[in-house]
Amino acid sequence: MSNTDLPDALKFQNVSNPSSSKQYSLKTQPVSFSQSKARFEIPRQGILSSNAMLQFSGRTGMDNATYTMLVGCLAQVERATLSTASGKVIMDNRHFSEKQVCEVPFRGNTYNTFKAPYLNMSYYGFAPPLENEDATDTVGTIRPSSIQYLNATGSSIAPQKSVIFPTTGQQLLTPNNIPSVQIQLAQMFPFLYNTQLPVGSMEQLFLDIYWRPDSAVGRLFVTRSGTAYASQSFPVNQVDTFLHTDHITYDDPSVMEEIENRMASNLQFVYTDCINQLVNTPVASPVTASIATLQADLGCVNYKLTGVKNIALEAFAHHPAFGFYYSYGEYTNRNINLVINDSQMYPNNNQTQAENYTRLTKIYDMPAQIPKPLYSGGRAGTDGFPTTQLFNGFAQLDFWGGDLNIQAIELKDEQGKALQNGLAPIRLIYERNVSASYQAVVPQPLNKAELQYYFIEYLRSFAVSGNGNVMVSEFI
Amino acid sequence: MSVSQIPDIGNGLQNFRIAPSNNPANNTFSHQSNPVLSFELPSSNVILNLKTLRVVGKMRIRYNTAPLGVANTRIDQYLGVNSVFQNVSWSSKNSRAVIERITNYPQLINTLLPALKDSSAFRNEFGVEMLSSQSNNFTEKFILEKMFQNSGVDGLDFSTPIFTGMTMASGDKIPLMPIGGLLYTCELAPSSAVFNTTDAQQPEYELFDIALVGSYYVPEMAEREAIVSMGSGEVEINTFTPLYSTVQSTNQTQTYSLGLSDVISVLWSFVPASFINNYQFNQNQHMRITQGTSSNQLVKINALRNGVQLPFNYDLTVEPETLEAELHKYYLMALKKIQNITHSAVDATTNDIRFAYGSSGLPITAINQRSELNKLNVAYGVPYDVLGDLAGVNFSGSPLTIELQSTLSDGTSNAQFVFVLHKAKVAYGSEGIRVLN
Repeated sequence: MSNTDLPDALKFQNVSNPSSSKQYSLKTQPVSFSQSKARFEIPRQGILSSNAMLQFSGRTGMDNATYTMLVGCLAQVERATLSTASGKVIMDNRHFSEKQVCEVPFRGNTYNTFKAPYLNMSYYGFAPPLENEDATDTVGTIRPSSIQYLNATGSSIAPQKSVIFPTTGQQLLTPNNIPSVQIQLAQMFPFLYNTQLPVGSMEQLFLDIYWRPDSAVGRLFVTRSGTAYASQSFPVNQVDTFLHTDHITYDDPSVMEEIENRMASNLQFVYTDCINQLVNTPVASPVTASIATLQADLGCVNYKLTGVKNIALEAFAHHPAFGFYYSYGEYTNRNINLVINDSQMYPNNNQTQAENYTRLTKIYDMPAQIPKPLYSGGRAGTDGFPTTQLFNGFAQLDFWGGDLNIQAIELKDEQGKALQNGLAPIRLIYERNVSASYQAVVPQPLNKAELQYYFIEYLRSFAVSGNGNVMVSEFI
Repeated sequence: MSVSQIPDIGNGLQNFRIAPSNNPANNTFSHQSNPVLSFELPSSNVILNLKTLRVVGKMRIRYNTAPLGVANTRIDQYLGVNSVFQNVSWSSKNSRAVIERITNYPQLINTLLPALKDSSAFRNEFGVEMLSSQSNNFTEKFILEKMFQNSGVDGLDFSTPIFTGMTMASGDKIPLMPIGGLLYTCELAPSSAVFNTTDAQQPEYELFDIALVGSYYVPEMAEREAIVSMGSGEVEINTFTPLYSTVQSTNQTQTYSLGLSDVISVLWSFVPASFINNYQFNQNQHMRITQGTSSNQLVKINALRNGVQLPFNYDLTVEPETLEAELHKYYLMALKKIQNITHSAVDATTNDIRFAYGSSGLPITAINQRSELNKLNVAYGVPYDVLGDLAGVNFSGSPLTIELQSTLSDGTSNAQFVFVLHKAKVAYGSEGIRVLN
């Protein structure tokens, strides 16, 4: 995203000409609330700081329940929309929690292990076994890092206590001790990571949160083996749902004047948005096939593309720890290639999983925190994770192996310039294959359908006019 | 194929995949059959960011060379697939003039990565890309068992970065045409240098489906024409010069005529000379000076330029059985500005002489070398750029002398791998390229 043309005060960074300012922190209740949607009016005051947070608390119908391991409370938000009073939609983030599967591993192991459990009750992170753990469980393996032991030998572990929900009985008490969780507004609308909106001078902005229903185990919560799934009809606690915003006003009137002067000629915000394409990958035929290919159009004519991210859900099944927030990759190769402007992005169509990981490192100029067996459990078989160690009552075995095979393709060039697509839609060439020796360990892995999510990121813009009207554009 | 360069369409991104120019018919490289890999990057009017480069491919244990399995076999836990690249070099493709040549490449990597990266990096990105993990048990379970299948089919895929001065420490992107393209050459190590095993059967490795991948920046038409017409100029790079010595006495004085003008740091490490090309032991592990089955300490270091102490104007002494904090500090400073090193995979828990490999509780034996408790990685360094701005010290015409005093009390021969990090310039012109140190 490029926001270099914005006034300093609208960038989330140290300003070159500091001016004394006042911060007003506001706590706003939703203007409307139901178990499917909450709407907030973003207070019109000064400049909205990038630190804004959505707070709520969740309820579950099961004992020993946790949010899913990777995305935590982010799973409760199915969709988030930032729009204006005149009905313009600045950003509509559908499949928000699925996209977070591609984002959370980039936060770093330290953040995910120590900080994320407090903020959003996720507990993603992996560590080597300690020396005093049961050797028969842990030789040569890794294990989740935020855990508690359920027995003396260490062969049964569960998520750490701080991320486990109170029992259903305790939730009915007063006070019910349901922990509050928070989601940064910038997670839902990433342009806020480095842009601050002059909401005091803009038309009224609305934040719409579409809550995800607790329709199946793994959609919001998972629990220990042996506890039956029970749906919670009211998974969001209304009395604890707030929007926390910080607003900055500068004492020097020239700072706001500069913004207003720029607005007189339409102040333009360039930002990265994301559209989603869902692609169903059918079962390979015949079921003993060793290669399955698929081609599809992903649209995006004339878009300025910056990157594509992908996850694949296998046969629409949930994972005992990740729920529906994972990416299946137990193949010898799983390869995404794109044809843009009639040219293939990569010369070959058969990249290995190690090459796929290298692509990931280019998206954020930092590596994803995904251990090898979790990224590509190729031929992992029952060696995927500790063979006898139970996690949350489930044998780890190979159900972890290759289950966080997220993929991404960087489309910006060395200068940070986005890739201008022409008049043809992006063509997807997708291939998954398994070798004979892989099939000897995991028979017929292509006998599974996939639901793939493609998150296509591109540059677009909105402009604010002198009277505060917002005009949005799909392009820049 | 590449992204179209139609005006106003696409951008300057062009991914490439280059097969070895000497790819054999059976598509397989090994020390016994095809021991050299060569990749040619074209003399084209594009710009290469060397940090995007990866050597990709698959590694396997050759059919029927480990029929007993791999329970008693390991590869270096910090190196993974990079154990197999013994020497690497960068040259101009057209003139064949050598820009950077690194012998003992695995030793260089083990001098750099464990200190600059943390355990989490080895558990995550290096595990996937390089097949390294900082864990001997993990190496057995997730690396070697997957390489070993005795059917010779799959192998284990890797996508390793290249750890040379050109690719790591150089900020400049390289225009390929003025320097006449690039040639990257890897000489493969013998299997006895890659694996350590206590089995009678000695495993051999093979590499196959090898390629060099990365991305070019293809500038706009006007800039491309400008690259074509570039007459002469210079590209500044940081590079490592490898040296080798042996230590087999309590006191040792080494003098190197470097002939280098911008020396940023000098780094070195030890391994018993008897470990080299010995299937019983890991020759790539960085150890203290070894005598019998135990480690010895360096107790005094002196670094001199032209016979005058520099940078320490005192004898850097170390109390025996300590954590050698001062040595470790200067080693880290030799790698990077010390405030910028926030995480490290080597620390007191991996290197404490009282408990690490070589201590009385974990004596130096072939079996202990593959123990999960063995994470030892000790290297030493002298910084000449404490401000971290990569402005080095002039050693042209001024020899570098390193005086070492250790607790070694017999004649055990310890190999010493020395690397000098320094600046160099690649000057290009109509007569080809010249490397200026």
